[in-house]
Amino acid sequence: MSRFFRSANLSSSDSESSGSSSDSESSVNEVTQRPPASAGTARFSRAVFSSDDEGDSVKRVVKSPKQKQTEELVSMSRDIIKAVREDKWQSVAADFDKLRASAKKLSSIVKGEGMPRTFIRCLVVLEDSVEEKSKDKTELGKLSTTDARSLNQVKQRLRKYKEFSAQVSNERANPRASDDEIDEGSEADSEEEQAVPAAAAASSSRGRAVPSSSKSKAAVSDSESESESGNDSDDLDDSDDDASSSNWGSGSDSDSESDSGEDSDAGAGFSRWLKKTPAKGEDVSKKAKKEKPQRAAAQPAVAGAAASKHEASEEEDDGFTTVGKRGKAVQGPVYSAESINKFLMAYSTSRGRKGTDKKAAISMLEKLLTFAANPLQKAKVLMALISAQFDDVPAASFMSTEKWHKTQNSVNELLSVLETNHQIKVFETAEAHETDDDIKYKNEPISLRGSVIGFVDRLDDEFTKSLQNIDPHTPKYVERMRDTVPLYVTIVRAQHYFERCDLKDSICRIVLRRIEHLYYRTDQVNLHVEAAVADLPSKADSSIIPATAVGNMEAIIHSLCTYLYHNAEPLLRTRAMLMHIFNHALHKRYYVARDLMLMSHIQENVHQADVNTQVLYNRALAQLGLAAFRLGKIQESFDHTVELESSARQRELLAQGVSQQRTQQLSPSEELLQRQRQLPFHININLELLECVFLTSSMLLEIPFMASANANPEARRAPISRVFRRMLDFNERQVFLGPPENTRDYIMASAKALASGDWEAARDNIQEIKIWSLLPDCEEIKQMLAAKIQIEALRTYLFTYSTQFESIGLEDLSTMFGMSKNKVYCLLARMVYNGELQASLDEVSGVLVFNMANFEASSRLQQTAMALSNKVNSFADINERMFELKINGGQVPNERQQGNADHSGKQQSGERDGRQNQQRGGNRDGQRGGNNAGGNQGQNRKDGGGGGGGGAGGQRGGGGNRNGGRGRGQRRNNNRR
Amino acid sequence: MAEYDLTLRMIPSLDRQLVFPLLEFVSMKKVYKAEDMLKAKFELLSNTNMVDFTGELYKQIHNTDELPADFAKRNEEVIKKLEECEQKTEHIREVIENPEVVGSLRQDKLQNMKLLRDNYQCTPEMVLELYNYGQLQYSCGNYGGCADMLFHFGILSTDPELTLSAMWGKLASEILLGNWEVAYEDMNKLKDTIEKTHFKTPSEQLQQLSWLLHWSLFVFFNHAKGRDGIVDTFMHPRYINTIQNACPWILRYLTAAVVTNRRRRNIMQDLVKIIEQVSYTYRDPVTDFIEALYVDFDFDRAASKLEQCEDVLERDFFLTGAVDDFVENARFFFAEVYCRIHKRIDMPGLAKRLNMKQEEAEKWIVKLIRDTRMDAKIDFKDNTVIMNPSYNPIYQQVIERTKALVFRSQVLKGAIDKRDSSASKKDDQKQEQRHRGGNGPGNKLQQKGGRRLPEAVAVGGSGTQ
Repeated sequence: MSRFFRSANLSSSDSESSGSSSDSESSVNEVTQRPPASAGTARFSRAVFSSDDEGDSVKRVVKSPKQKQTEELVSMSRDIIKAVREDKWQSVAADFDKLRASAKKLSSIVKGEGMPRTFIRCLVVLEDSVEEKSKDKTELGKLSTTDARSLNQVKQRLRKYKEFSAQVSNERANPRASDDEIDEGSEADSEEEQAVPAAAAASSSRGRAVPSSSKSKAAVSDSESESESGNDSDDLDDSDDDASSSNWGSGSDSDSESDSGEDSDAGAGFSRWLKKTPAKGEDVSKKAKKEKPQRAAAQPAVAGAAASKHEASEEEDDGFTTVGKRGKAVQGPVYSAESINKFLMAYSTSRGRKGTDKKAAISMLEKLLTFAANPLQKAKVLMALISAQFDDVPAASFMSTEKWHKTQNSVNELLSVLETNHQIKVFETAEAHETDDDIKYKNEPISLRGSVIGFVDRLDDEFTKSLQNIDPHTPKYVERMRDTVPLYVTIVRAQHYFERCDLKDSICRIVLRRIEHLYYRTDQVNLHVEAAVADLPSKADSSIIPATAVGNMEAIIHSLCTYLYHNAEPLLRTRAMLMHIFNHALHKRYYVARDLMLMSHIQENVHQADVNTQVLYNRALAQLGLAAFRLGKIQESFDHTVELESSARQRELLAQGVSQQRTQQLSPSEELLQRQRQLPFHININLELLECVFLTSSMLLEIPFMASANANPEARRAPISRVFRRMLDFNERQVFLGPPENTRDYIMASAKALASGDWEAARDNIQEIKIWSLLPDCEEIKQMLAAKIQIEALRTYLFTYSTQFESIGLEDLSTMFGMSKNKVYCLLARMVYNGELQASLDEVSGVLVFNMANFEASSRLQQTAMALSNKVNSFADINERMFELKINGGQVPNERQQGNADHSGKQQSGERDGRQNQQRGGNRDGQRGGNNAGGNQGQNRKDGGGGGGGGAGGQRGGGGNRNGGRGRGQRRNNNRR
Repeated sequence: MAEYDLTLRMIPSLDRQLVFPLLEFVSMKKVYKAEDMLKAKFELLSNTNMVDFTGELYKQIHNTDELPADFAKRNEEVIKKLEECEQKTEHIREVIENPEVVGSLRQDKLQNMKLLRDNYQCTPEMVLELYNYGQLQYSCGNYGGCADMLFHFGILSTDPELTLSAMWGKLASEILLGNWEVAYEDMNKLKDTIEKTHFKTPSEQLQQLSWLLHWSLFVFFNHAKGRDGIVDTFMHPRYINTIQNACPWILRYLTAAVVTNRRRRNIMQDLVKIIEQVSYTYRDPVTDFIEALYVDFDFDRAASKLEQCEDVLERDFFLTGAVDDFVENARFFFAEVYCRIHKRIDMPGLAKRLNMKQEEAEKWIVKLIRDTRMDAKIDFKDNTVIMNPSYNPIYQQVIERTKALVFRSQVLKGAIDKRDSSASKKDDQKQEQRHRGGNGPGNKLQQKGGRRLPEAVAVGGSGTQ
């Protein structure tokens, strides 16, 4: 068959080419395009598909990417057309961009020709409707503003998009068939049951179809067939003519005759082909055998197709697939309860190999399921089905919602089977159960090999993955989130099942999953979720949650966590505890959470944990900070959040996004890893809130501190919060300052007001911040902050102006700062007692009298003299130490380190003392050190890959060292890149 | 008043028989209903072998003179058991009480056991019988006998676990006997043992420590040196941790001990920190008083808490004897803080806060001023106390800081010289050995180098600072 010849016999050759076409997508397309086969369409489509075929058979390597692209393109096109019809221009605009990108990829593969039909059609539809819309002003008015904007966007882009204009105009010439196709497309979407198997069948036939496609190619040009001699034998070449000619016949006949497979005319042609193909069949038998299940899967497709015989397209498909059926009719028996095992075996052997078609396997197993005669078979088939469903997820992407739902149904079904049939046990270490007499199964106890926990784990992971990938600001995300409850129910059911079977390992894992679903939500929400599992029939199997705990979320989580503390391995235990801490902190049970955190000593070894645990630790810490803040524990809150907030990578540390770094770029693989680690949006801690809390507490601590250090330049140099200090400096350097706009601005403005003693302005600025509303007890917190600001303003005022006064009346102070006299009195008393103020109270006349020392301290000369005396003292100290070093010569390095970082020494001894219990008194330091170690070293490790760990490990301790460690880590990374 | 009663919280950490005096005390103070107390005592003792006593209680509760039959039966049983045990342990007791044997016993327990086995036919089982007998006697209320038995057992036994529980038993017996000297020693021994022992789980250790805390209260508040002992022991980080984690109510006793122990005033700061940290789990008037005084400096609240303290301490088994002492010292602390903060103090106001009559208060303050040698004067015209806060002028501070420098430098120089001379001597010797009368210049050079080195290092060191 020459090209020439082919083009002469348009319609028939077309049908032939498509009849033997191998690509799944093309077969789907063809199927629809064929039947009425007006010359024009045929020509067009042939132009498309013949080139497809060529591409295929000459270079089979290209096939799979191309196929993928084509599929993607087709489905996108359909989406667009659907959206256009529904006037959802926003999604059209978004999809259109993607469409263009993928069209570009495909066209680079197929060299510009042969873009799938649907794609072209989509362009046509788009153009038409865009024009229509923009002409009709009233229509335009109906659209929402965003839609209208998107419409304009699409319009402009379409105008520029001329790459396929030729095909588009071609398409315009014969729109009818295309419409059919589109309809078919949408039908295929809606009736997945049918369409998917059909497509699957077509694609599954790929392997088989190789020879036939080569044949068709042979029909196209002899030279090509020669060049691709691999599995084409000469006699095949000969037969091609016959085959193809009969195919033409069948092509035309099948229009009128419904089931061509059995029909004489076409049958003759096919049987002829078949007669000769056994040899060929054996040639490729290896492949074919592997694909037995797929072949089998083709059969349901046939059945499905047969059901809709009147649809010409399907008939064609029939005509095509029957070949397959015939080809295997000899070996492929019909499904029955007896033969299930055989199919399962075949499936399990083919699973995971290259070239196996996953969709076909799924449809086959689904079919099998209906034949399952008893629970045992059902469980077996279900397990195979679930794994097949999970196999069908592209590695880089996530499971689509529909697929996920189907899989979830399967898992639920499996659980129901297991719940109602207590004699069947499924666990990982069981003996493989392979007998053929499942059909005779009489409910005797039996164990199957399988991993229900694996299924549930995977289901949950896929769910998380999909949430990671969906834009959290769309309704789609919300819709997806609705599945949390069913998923939770599944998890709880699985937990009950494991408890009944007493699978310790699985129980721990599933309980952790369960906690993972609970810990980040408030009790009210959780109770709602928990209500869904309250009436599960399998409840009786569970003993982890005592009956008294029902309805009390804290108790439920407590009992779940306690179970893990007692039974799980350390990693799970740690995670459970961190989540427990998080949950406590979320509910303002700060002390409980903090004690749990301290008693676990996790801060000492968290830097050795895996990244996810570290992330969880950071989250727990952040939440702890929030909880402390809500209770008005400013110092504690600051301590908890300072490490996180001082780092430029808080997003990364909380796994809430990839932080942009100017100095270094992440390699794609690292970035991918980070993305995978990312938490779904609804679990995230609000970073802005966290920052706001941190800055506010920094302000409350730092401003009075700065004021008190005013007289003492040395103290000024060691700020409490470096971040805050830097921001304040930056703010002060600003030439022009507008009114505050964002959280930071408000806090800075407030800080300045506080520093000048204007507590009302400070309070107003702080209360202005909108993000407080995210905290559950927002009003209380504002009150609390106002009170704190009053106190700190008074302190700041006294520190700043104490040198200007000889005495201050309590009465005045109390009116100035709007506090009761008693409160002012207590405050002053404390400051005097602690030596913060060089003054004393006069009870009788109600004034604060400053001492002479206070005035002296203000003189510059005296300050300098003090500083000098300090310096001289330390100089003498150093000399002595150095001399001691000389004497105990060997210990030089040790000594020096101790001198530099006795902070770390203290910390260590603190740890030693508090090994058994927590030493809360001296613990703040230790804790901070620990946090820091966790955070920083985690970072270092992450960035530095394998090489970062060792160096970072030695860097615990004093502040200077810490920074050194961080800097060094980064430098090393830069060098590496 | 039951609100601040700690009996219920303490019971889990005490022995059955140690609880009894507590209950007795509480019922005397009529904190709870008398009936309930009787029942509680009955419950408490019904598991012991003090059958007669339990019978008495039974009669009181049920208002009868007749006892159920099983009391008599149990009585017989107990007596029988006692006799049995006595027989079993007769031999070993004789052996042990033999002064010859006592003389030959050594530190090494294994050696002792061998000695007993070889010379006196004593088996480990017999030693174990001692333990059982001691337990039985304890259960019957015969504490003296029990203490003896367990003492011997403790010496002979090689089983660390049983030894530990024998020590507990011994301590309990001594406490119940009121032998505070012995109990004090026993307690310290027990403390050392617990600190040295490595327990399987941290919670087990925690439990042991918290028991020790509770039991030691008996000893500390009855022994003459107890006030010091309790402060020293409890302020140790190990016990502070235990208090914070397991039994925060012990803080009341620690606070009382610190307050009544004026000589250890400097410990107050640490105590305040601890009280502040624990305040979320435990607070009572005693800790509140300290908190109000040292954290909030709210003198009115502190004064009212002090009044409450009196009531609470009255009703506390351990502290009831220390009420006056506590109040007196608390006033002292109160006045101290007050004086430190104020320049001029209104005397009637202070007297009111201290809950004293004015005249009395005046006397008290005068005494206070005299005792503590405060720089204060009383102005009778205005009825005020005028404090002269002593502050350090900066000149004084600078002088003080630099005063020691000369001495330090001299010491340093002396040390360097000494070392140098000794080093050069050594060097000389070496040189001589090596060169046998080698040349001088090299030697000198080395000396120079040796002398220069410390300076160089010192300069480098100051540079790093």
